[in-house]
Amino acid sequence: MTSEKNLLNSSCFDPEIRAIEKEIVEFFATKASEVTGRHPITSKVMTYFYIRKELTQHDLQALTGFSAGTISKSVRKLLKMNIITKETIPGTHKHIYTMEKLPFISPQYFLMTESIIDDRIRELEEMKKTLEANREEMKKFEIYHKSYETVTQLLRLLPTVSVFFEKIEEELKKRID
Amino acid sequence: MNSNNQSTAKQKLKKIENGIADIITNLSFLKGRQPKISKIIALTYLHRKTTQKQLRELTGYSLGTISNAVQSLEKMGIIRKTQDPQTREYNYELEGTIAQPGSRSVTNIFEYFSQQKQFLKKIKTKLAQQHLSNKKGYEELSQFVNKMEDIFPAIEHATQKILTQVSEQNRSGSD
Repeated sequence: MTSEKNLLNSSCFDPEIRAIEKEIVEFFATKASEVTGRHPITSKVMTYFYIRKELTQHDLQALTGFSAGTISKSVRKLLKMNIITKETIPGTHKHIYTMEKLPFISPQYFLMTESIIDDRIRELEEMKKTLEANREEMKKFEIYHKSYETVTQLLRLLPTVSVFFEKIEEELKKRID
Repeated sequence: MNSNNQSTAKQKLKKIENGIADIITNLSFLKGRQPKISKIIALTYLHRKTTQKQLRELTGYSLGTISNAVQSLEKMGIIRKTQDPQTREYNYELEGTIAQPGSRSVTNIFEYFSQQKQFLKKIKTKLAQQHLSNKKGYEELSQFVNKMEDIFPAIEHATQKILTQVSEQNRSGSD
């Protein structure tokens, strides 16, 4: 038995609207992938979440035409990226996946980014110490210089990532409120 | 003793090299970039110049994976391919630096923003057709388009600000 949710999400859009939706998904999947290097399948699935907010894996299969395995893999990826959340549909063993907001402004996404960045900064500081302490022995190897330069550069760059998200939030508040 | 010291230094350096590549790969995951692609970018950057063979030794990925990855990175304007006149082997180099992405990929971003603006405008015109406004799915699509129209200028603006900031930092940092 197919759940009502399933039918509701996968095929209920008006055909003309559905055609426009396909056009949107195609655009974001190809164009955005070119720019970000994101996998086209991930982009496609993400765009469906942007538009439809909540979907089951079954819905996603119906919408994209991808296999169950492909869908399950990309759903897992989006869960890991904190872009969607997973819930069980009451009274069933089915899961429904939800994207509350766009990932850029989801506080969860933002917080995760920040803690990841902090950990990376600590690791980089350790590396910098090791590189500096062993400079004499290490500088003979060609890769030493580029490694040192990269560590320093990343240490300068990473704090700006949080600033980047703050700036986006600022801008959005100005526009949306 | 001396050669012993040297081999530990080499090992430590190797560990750091992998550490840096992992960090870059990890951070790129936030953007949804494929880990294998990010690792290839990071290693090409650290080694300044790589060949497909060398990338294979460094990553353990199959030649097919590597050849696909370098091809798409070349298309994205992230790496540049040159041919060694003697060995006839192809060398890969990164355009620009990690902190300040290659000028071509920055141009790509802004080109993408403007393409997107045009695209959303086109979709809006389509949705504005009278007979569609009470059709199922109309609300969802309109909301999506409106949200995108709010968000992308914000991202564009923030990107511009950050790029200016990073390039200023690089300038003062390289002195």
